[in-house]
Order: sequence, then structure tokens, then C-alpha cells
Amino acid sequence: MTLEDRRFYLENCDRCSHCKWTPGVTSEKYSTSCPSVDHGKFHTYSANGKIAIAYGLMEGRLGYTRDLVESVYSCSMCGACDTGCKWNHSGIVEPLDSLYALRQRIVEDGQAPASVRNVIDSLRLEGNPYGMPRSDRNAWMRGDRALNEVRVDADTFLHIGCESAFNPAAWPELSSIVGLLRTAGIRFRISPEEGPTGDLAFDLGYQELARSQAEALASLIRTTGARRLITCSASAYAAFRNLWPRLGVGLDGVKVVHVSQAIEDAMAAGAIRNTFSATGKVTYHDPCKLGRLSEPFQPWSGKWTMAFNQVIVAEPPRKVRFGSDGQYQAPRSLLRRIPGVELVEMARSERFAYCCGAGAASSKVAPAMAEQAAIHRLGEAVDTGAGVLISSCATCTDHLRNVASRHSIPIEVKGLIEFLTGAMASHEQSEERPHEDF
Amino acid sequence: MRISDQAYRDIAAAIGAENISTDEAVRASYAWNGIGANPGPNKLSEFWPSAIVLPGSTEDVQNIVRICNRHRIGFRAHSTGQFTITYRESTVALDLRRMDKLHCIDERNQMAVIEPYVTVNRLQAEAFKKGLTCHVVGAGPVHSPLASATAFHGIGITGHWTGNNPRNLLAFEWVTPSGEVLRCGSAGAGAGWFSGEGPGPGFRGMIRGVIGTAGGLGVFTRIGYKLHPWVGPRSVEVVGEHPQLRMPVPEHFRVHHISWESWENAASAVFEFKSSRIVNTLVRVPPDCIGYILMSTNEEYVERRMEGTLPPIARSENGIGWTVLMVAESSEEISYKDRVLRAIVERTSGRFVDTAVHERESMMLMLANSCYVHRVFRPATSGASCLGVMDSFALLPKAVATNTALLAEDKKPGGPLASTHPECSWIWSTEGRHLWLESVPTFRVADRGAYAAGVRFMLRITDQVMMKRPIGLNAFLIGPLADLYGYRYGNVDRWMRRIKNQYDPHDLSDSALYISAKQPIVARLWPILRKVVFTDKLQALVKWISQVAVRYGPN
Repeated sequence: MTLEDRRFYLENCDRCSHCKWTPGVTSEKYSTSCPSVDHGKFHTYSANGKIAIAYGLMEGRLGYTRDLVESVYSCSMCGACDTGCKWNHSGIVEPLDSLYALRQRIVEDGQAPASVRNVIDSLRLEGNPYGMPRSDRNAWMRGDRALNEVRVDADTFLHIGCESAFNPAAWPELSSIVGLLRTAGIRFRISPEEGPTGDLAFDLGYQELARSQAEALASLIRTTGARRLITCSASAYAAFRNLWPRLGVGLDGVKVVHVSQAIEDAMAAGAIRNTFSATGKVTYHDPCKLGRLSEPFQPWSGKWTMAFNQVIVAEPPRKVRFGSDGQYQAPRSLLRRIPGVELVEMARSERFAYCCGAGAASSKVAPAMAEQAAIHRLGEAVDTGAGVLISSCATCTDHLRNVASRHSIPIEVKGLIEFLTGAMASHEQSEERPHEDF
Repeated sequence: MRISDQAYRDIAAAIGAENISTDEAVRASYAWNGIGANPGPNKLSEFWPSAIVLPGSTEDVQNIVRICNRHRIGFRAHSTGQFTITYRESTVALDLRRMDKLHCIDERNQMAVIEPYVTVNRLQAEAFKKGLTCHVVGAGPVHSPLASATAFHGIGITGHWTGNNPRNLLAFEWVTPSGEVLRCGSAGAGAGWFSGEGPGPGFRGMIRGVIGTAGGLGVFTRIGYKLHPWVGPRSVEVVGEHPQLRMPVPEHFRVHHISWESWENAASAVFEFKSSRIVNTLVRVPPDCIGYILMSTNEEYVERRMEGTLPPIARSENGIGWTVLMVAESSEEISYKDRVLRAIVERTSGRFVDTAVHERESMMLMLANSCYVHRVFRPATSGASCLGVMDSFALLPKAVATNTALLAEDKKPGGPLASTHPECSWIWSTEGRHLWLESVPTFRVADRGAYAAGVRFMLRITDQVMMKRPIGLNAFLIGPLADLYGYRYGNVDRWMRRIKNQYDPHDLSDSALYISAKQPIVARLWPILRKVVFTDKLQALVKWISQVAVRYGPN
């Protein structure tokens, strides 16, 4: 995707400023939507600011400067600008896709900053963005003999994701997931050869690397013969549904489900008994990747025409991604199953959730922005009165937890499944149930 | 043109190096030609600001303005800065986003004290909690009330009840173009922010007039802002699937869509509505724009229009009329208002148009915060404006007819302007008193022929409004228009120019949208020139000139 491919959309931006504000807001304190401009302050950091940069580069009116690159990469690619813009502009501006194209242009021109190149080098060499040896991917499941067996009879592929596999802080969540799936009688297999989805490479502007990573993982999944894929990773969920169709990579016939939905389905079917016991207020942070960014992408190769002289219409009509078809309800349904726990919502939630700041490797590429975003989001969580902030994305959870700890912010941060299993009576859930397919 | 190194150093020393930028990309990002207000074909305006500064306080603003005076550099401030910010060559842009404090809401005295970057959505969220709300201009919930109260017309749908923003401005703090800080009104007397006229320096009307200063007369850094009673919910529940967000119509509120067969009858009804004081908000949204509000995409609108399945309130046959909001605190009160409304409608031969619950809820959200006014640009991303007709509602039929006639040729199938509605006039009452009408024919800026048609319309309607067949007063008398037509408005241009030159002797505060320091020659000759330009026989030539000008103009 080139900037010239985006010319029509770039020109349609009328600078209405909705890319910086949350639609339908009911809060004085929590009304902004863009962590990038909230941090950078100059309008350059907003979606329209980046659109202006993209246009200037495309037209040859701008050269590269440090500030140009910094403003583009001080962004978690959370898509809040896109959701806000579409409130009144439908799909005729679609800023997020232009931001993808802008980063690709910067990469093609050899102008990606060193912090980005370091992440990409790690992805290329070690298959993860953390600089950790490739062989460490499976460290979390050492000692679990069953996990290390290849379940050729399993109809479900359990996708782990880099952000959990390589982070010991996320291993309790993974163990909880495995435990619940076993309890539900879901027969699954894991592949020690699992690699990145291409999601992060794409976010950073490396489309071809993203494609090659996606193709490799898709090939791996196909060889398992699995008909269902449960992913523990919010960013992978977005990759499978939104990114891979952009890249022309498919998982033909494989149903993709996030682990929260799989467990919710199991509970609804009675495969996991509800023995939850916990009290207190909790609030839930919607990961961008599980929410608005996971809305399925449908390729469109039509054209834009004018009806009634000057009404822009797509021919054939294209599906506009408003951010509504993400996974918002399963995590909430699970939390509401816990008697004694009161789920209170933050002012900005679901498709309008404020990004934690960690997306697109921002804690490495734009650490100041990432930190500020997390502080802001944690403040919003604290103001709900909740004692626990829960998320179903390992990246979000890790980032928010670390920032809360660094700044002594009085709220506990937990992964969704870890929180659930912590609320369960342990002895009644320790036996694996007979196999039942869903 | 860049600012000098010394000027840069002076500003950096005053407000911090992290709060000033002369980077090319940063400058470009402030030069976006959003709706084509700058006439060139490029989406980046011809002139980019020389530097962008982020003041965090009134003191910062004062320091910056003084430095600009010292170095003779132009400057221009903006808040959220919607659409297009116009700069002259060599201008420092003051982005006021760091000045975002909502200092207080004085519940008992129904006012707020706010800084430039407090937006309506934030202010309303807090005001609602206290049973108050604010006026909202057409730019919607992300606009700055301070900016519209001091620096632009401040016109909006809620104005029927709240008054427009010249009326909502109370005391204010002003950094003059030469760098003095003056508190006007009661704030000047150290008596709080409740009164715009004093005791204390009472310059409100002189400084902002009806159209505001548009960046041409210094910087406003704090204001007292009127709030108005709100008997709706203390926290607005927004429902619906994005992007079709809605607000449930509160108990004892009513949203009606009423239609008449003629604008004469519709106008008669307005006079009765006003004298009866039963209506809180009254607006005519063009039926095609109602369609854009109720449908999430242009494709859906076009498809349903072609199928003939648009909801009744979005159809042209119901387009002569009003969407009316009535507000009450009890069932008895709303029942009374409803009876009066129905009696007026019957007396004026109107009819209620069927509306579904979700349609009323969509309109309710818009009536509360003007959030969907932006959808007027969704068809084609830009539009012209008849620059606002102000006058008595008695002129309403003539105003509509004039717009319709002027647009007829260009709105034909195959023409340069959107043909979805003959006159696309947004109409409402101001302060329960006079008419506001703004026709917004839409077009895409990249289509230069359409752009030329839009510009022609603006010029012709401006002339029609005030000159040939007067249909009211042109309200957006901004920038060059003040120069061209000031002689028709009590020579307002001369008085504005006196004020400009008195307070901005070096002409540093950017006057692109305000009166210029010196009258341009074309303005002096305009009373004669316009007779040539608008001669009916020369319209074909004018059309050709406008098309050439926008196709090959600057940029």
C-alpha cells in the first residue's frame, strides 16, 4: 500500500478534530482518544497531523526530519483516531490505513528510527521482538509433559503468542488458560514451532516481513489440520481477522476464537462449573487489538464514484469497519459470572477504549508516550473505584502492571483468565474432564 | 519564511524549548487546508506558519506576543482549530492546547470560567452534573467555546434558547496585540467573571462585535461563559451502535418533526412558537442531511433514496419544516406545551411527520451537542456557505427562494454541486428572536469545477443578501468581506480598522479573517466593481474566470 494509493482518503480529511476526541463522551477528565497527541502536544502527532505529513511526503513538499519520524512513531497504532473519524465520515478518510501506508513509506525510504530497526532485527533473527533467543519461546511449558506431546487427534490449535510465551510474568495466565481448557475437555495442540503473526512488523511499517511471517505461521497451522484456532493473544486475534486478509494470507475454514470466547462458551455449555468466589469492584480494559482493531478486514477493489453529482460512494459498496465487531462481550460475560464481583466500566470502553500505550512496541519505540498513556489509563481505572484492573491482552496487562508499580498507582492489574482461576475453588477444577468437542 | 534565530531563542527561553518548533513537518501539519478555505488546489495551504508555539499560561502568551512585537513577527492563536487555519506569510502559530483548564463551574450563578482548550464535550459533561449546559456552535462537541465566544460568530442550533456566543461571553482576559494583559468586564475590577460589560473595562462588543476577532486582534486566554439550565439527565446515556450513537429522549422532553406546505406557513408558526415560549430548540436540518444523520454511510443513503425507502423526515416532501425540541420538568408542563404546539401546528396548517424512536433519539443527541452537524460534509468533504443570513423570520421564504434560484443551475444532474436538495439550508431561530439561515451546498475540493461553483455561489449570495434583492444581513462578514461590504453596514470596516490599528499598530495579529490594517484597493473600488462583476449579462464570463482562478490559483 503506497501513499499514492491513499491519496483519495488523505484529501478527504477536513480536519474536524474528531480524531483526537472520544465520541459520545460523558467525562470531563477522560474525553481524549489519542495517546500520541496527548503526549506530543503538537498537532503533528494527531491523525490529521500525520495525514498532513503523508500528503506532504507524497507531494514531494516535505523532507525527512527527526521530528517527522518521531511524530509518526510516537503512536501505538491503536486505531482510536479511525473510530472517532468514522463517527461522521464513514469510510472516506479512514486515517489508520493511511498511517500504515505512511510507516511503510518511511521504511521504504530507509528512515525508520533505530529503535524500530532493533525490534525488527529481533523479529527477523529470533522470531520475537524482545531480543530473546528463539528457543525461549517454549520455556513456559517446560515441565508440562502433556503440553509437550503432539496431539495429532486434536481438532483445536492453541495459539500462544509472543507476548505471553516470552514473558514469565504472563506464564501464570497461560497456565490458567491451559488448565481451564483441559477442565472444559477441549483437546488442543500447541506447536513449538509457532512464530510471529506479522502483526508487529506490519504496525511498524514492514509489510513484506509481515507477509512472510504470516505465511509461515499460516502454513504451520494448516499442517496441523486443526479446524479451530483458539488464540491467547489479542494482537494475534487482530492479525488473523484483520491483518492477514490485507496481506492475502488465509486460514481457510479454520475458525478463529479468542480464548475468552472459548472459555465463555465452555461455561455457557456447562463444561466448566461456576465455582467462582470473589468480591470487590473490578474494571476491564478493552485491548485495542481484541476490540476495534480485530474487526474483520474485507478486501475491496472497487472504485469511488459520485452520486447525485457530489456524493462520494464506493462501488461496489465496501464494508466500513466502525470498530464494533471486536471481542467486547466475552470477557465481560466471564467477569459477570463471578457473584460478589461488581464490574464497573471506565468512561472510555469497548470500541472507544483509551489505549494503554503499549501497542506497536511503543514501550521500546516511544517509551515516554507509552508511559504517559498507561498512567492516564490507570488513573481512569482508579477513578471507577475498582480495586482490580483486568485485561485480556498480555501486552496491555504487562505494561499497565509495570507502570502501576513504577508509579505506585493504587490498583492491581491482572490478566482475565488468571483472575478467573484465582476466583475459582481450586480442588473442584483440578481434574481433566472427558473429551468433549465444541 | 522562517523566524530569526534570535526570535527562536527568545521564545524558547520564555516558554521552554520543548514548546516551540520550526520543524518543517510540524509546520506542515498546521497548514492543512481542511475544507478548502484556502483557495489553492493543494491540501497544504500556500502559507505555513513559521513556527508553532505551545504556551501553557497567560504569561506565556504575553511573553510570546511581546517577543513577536520585538521582532516584528506576525502571530495567530487557535484552540482546537477546525477545518482550515489560515496564515499570512511569516506567522507564529500559537496552539493553545496546553491551556485546557476548566477553572470552575459556578452552579448558582450559571456560569463557567474556562481556558481556550476546554471543549464543549468536556464542559457539558461537568455542567450536566449540575443541571446546566452550554451553547454549542455548529462545529460540534469538540470545539472550543472560548474560541467561538471571542473569535468567531458563535452561531449554533442551541441558540434559540441559549443565544449565540456574542451573548454568552461574560468577562474575558485578553492579551492585546501589543502584549498587554487586560481583563475586561467584571474580571477587570477583580470582581469575578460574571459580567462582560463591567464594572471594569467594558470592551466586549467593541472587541468581538458580531463576528469575533478571528485571530486578528490578540489572544483570549480565559473567559466567563454563560451556562443555561438543563433539566435533562445529569449524565447523558449514549446508546446505539457506533457510528449511529443516540441519546434517549428524556422524560418530559419531546422531539417532533413538523412540516408545512410553504415557508410562509412555517415562518408563521415560528412567530407563534416564539411568543408561546414552548420550544427549547428549533431547527431546520435539510432533509438530505437528516438522511446522512440517520444513515451511517453515503452508500446507504444513496441506496435508500433511489429505492424510495428513506424515512419520512429525510424526504424532500417533508423538508419545509422544523425539528422541535420541547423541554419540561413535569408531565403537566410537557403536556401543556404539547397542547400548545399542536394548536399552533393546526392553526398554521402544519402536520406532524411520523418518526421512529431511534430517529428521535439521533436527533436528540444532535440537538444536545450538535455532534452530527459535521455530517453535512460527509457527502463530499467540503461545502460552500451562504455566509449566514440574519434577519426577521418574515424574510425566510424569500431567503430560501433566493438560495434555491442561485443554486438551481449548478445543482442540476451533471452539475458541479450536490443535487440531493435544492437549497440545503440549515435554519434556526436565534434567542427566540431572529432568523439564522445558512445554505451549505456540498462539493469535493479536489473537483476544481465544483470548487469554483461553490465560490461563485458564495459571492453571488453575499451580494444578493445585502445588495440587489436584500434578504437579510450577511452574518459571516469575515476578513475581505468586511472590507468589500462594510459600507453597507454603517461603514463597520472603518471602525473595525480603527480598532485594529489602535491596538495592533504593527499589524502583527494575523488578519487573514479579520479586517486588514489597510484597506485594499479592490475594496475601495468595490462599490463600482461589484456592479460589473454581478451584472447578469457577464455571469458566463465570471464563471469562466472563477474556474480558471481556482484551477490555476496559488498552490
